[in-house]
Amino acid sequence: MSRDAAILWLKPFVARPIALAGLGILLATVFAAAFAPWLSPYDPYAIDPPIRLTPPGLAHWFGTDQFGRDTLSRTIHSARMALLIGSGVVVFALATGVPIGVLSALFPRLGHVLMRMVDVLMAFPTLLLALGLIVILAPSVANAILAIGLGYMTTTTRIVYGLTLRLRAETYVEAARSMGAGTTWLIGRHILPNLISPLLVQASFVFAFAQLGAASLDFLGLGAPPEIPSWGNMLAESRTFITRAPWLLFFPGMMIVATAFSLNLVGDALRDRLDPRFRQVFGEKG
Amino acid sequence: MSGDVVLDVRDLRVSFSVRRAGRKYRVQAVDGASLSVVEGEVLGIVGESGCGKTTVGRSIVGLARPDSGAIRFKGADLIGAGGATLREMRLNVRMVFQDPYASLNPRRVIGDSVAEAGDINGMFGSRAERSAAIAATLTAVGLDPSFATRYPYELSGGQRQRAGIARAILPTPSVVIADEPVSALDVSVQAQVLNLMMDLREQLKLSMVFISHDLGVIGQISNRVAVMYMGRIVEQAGTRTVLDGPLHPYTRSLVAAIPRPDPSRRIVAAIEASEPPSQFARPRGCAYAARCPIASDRCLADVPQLRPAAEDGRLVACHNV
Amino acid sequence: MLSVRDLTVSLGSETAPVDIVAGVSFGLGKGEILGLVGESGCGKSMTSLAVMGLLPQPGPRLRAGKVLLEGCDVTQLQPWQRVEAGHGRIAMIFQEPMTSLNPVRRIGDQIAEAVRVHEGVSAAAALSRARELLEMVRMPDPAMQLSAYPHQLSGGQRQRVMIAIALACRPQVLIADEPTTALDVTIQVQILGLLRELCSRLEMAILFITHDMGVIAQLADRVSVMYAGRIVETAGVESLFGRPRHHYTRGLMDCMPSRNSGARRLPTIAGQPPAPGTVGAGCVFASRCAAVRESCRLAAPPRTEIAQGHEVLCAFPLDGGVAP
Repeated sequence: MSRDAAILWLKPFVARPIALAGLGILLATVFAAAFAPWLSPYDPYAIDPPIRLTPPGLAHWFGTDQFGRDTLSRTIHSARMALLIGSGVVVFALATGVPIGVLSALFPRLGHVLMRMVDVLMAFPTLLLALGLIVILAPSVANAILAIGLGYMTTTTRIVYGLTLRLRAETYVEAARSMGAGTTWLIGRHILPNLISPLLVQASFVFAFAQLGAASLDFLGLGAPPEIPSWGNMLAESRTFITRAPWLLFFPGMMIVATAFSLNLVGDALRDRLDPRFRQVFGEKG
Repeated sequence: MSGDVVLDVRDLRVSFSVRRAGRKYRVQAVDGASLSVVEGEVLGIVGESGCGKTTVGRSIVGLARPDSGAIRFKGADLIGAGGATLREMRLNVRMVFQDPYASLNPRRVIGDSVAEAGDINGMFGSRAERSAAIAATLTAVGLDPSFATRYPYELSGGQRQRAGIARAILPTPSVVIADEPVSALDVSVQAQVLNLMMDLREQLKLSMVFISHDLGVIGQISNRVAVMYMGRIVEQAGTRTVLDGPLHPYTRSLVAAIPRPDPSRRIVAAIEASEPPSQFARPRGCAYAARCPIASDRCLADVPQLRPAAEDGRLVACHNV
Repeated sequence: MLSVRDLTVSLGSETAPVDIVAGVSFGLGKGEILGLVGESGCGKSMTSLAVMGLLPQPGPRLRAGKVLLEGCDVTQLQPWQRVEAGHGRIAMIFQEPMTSLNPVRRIGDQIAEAVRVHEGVSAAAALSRARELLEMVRMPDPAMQLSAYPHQLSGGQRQRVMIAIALACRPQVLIADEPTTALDVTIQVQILGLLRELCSRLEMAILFITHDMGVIAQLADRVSVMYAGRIVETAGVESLFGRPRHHYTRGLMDCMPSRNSGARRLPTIAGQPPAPGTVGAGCVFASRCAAVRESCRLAAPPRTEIAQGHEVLCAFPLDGGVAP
């Protein structure tokens, strides 16, 4: 990517300070996850009953929970689980949705069958689908990724299917076909490269909603094992103390909202970047 | 211009199914068209939107599936061909598309688009050979070789159309099917691109099928013209013969309607509204009968066949000329 | 009747405006068709939108100039004032009628609605006026077509409907922006004939915008040729086509295939039009002009009336007639 291209990608963020804030929160979350052991003031697993349910203060900025564990350290370490689930769901949704969508659009007979199946899955609310699967598969991080990912596989497939149908009718695809290009060539040289930008947008939204989905599963005790720090688990464990120790819900709750919100802002900015009208304003043609 | 027939289309029929207002219709886009291209000549196909001229071109390069008929390239039938024959046809019969904005992939550099036919068929031995071929082809269409690394959005409409032509001549084909290659361009650019196509045709000894709605452009570039109306060829003859003395009543109205930069041919009054019949309700006899000033009863019942109308090889499909 | 003075439309900021229409002036009399011809990007459509007060928002804005309709400057009017009878009765038709018609409403209702906006008559009266208008635009079988939907009509018929809607406000001026470009030639002549007839019958003035020199020659009374946001030549149609004085006009005519049939090669105009904002002090056509002189690059050429009613923006105009 040339320097000019880099500037064009940054423009939608600079033009909207709120999108820049979203990007900032996101980068901060990634930073927290990467350097959690160094950033955390305490061991997130260390139990210290004498100081249980300490309100936020100088020693424990975010207070402590019912076992005396440091809430700040647990909140920071939870970012790891959040990013793991988020990226896992994105990878799953793309790895299944892209091939199914592309092949369905290129082979109408196959597409007819596959897309009806996708429609059936889409009829279920995403969380209900995830709950059902977890009940069958038993709770674990991998199964949470699978269960949430399945819900977003359907929307991804739909988007890819629609875009590929449109790309298939593009004149440059017809030109390649008229010169004898096979399916592999068309997918590799014409379809996938043109799917990258819209999929980037889709990925950021899937990542955001995966956060909410993961938090819901954790809260219901169907996600990550309870001893692992995650924002959903923290909410679940501390809900009985809601009146006595509201900080236990406030900080993880804030983080769930902040990451989901920031990803949505980033997604919006990316979508603007890909909107042809927006490109005109910023002087890029085509 | 006598020589070997390179491309021969016999009794081509192509239909599409179209869904409209919840019902399925069969539209006969091409209804028995025959034409042939002699080595080195430019055959113009002219007609108005929906007459099937583009479908004829698309069938020749394999983008539309004919219901029946034959498309022969140097004697070998394209329809149902496979393997080496098909590959040779694909490389030897190439298409230039109308819209220079839609016909280049916005995410690929010009060089990749130009080299596409060669890449698909694995024709380049090395990277150096490939770049040299791209550079030579870009130069041939009047673009600087540095355009190879540019993206389509950096090019003007005329430059993109040159790139589209470059894609169609690497490796050099025998026949180029040009589908309205200049109708999206401004007149001054249009003239440049037409000149380029005439030059290339001479240098590379190309045969061409030039499809256009513009009789002015057709008159400039083609040796012979086939006039199409509602899926059929209604008149076919040498370009000057058709333009100077059109015989079929439809050709006559088409020639008369060409806008000419001549104020002495001013339009002074309204003329009767008349439009082609719907594609979904094709008349039984001659498709032009309802608009035709010389239509007779026979025209409503029988479809006129293309037949020789004079010694000069002119073919006309009309009962009354 | 319509007089446009020094119309300037700009993009960019207040401090560094980029003029896409620069000082365009023309007049238009009753029953007259003025052709505005030029290639894509020359500013002809922006001129028409500025006259209509329909410049897209946000984007280009009217930086200077007047649009006088019978002495009243319509650029000073609010949109709602334009609708009122007597003020700025300018109507417009576009290249693609399908985008201007509501696909789920009957033709008759859409024309009647336009009638009611302008005349405040009853629904029944509006519908009968709609039928009259369809007859006026020579729609075959007008009574039947009132209940048709846009998709049931052909391109030519849709353009007739658009003209009927435009006529509903009894315009003094009709702006036609490439109204026949999307149509087949045999349909095009029908629409051109219709416009000519309406123009004389209703004593309406028409500003006809096109890229096609052939269409302009056969329809317009007077012609203005636009290049890079400026009118470079204005003349009566015989004078312009008989003796073009500007090198650009001449070049445009020469590269039309229908004027050269039989020639081995078409004459061309070298290069491309300058991008907006890159025009320096000199003549806008200097970079492509075959007869350019050093002075052309330095100072803008004067606008001179070289013959009765024939204006040209060129310091060294052609003497016309024979090719230079």
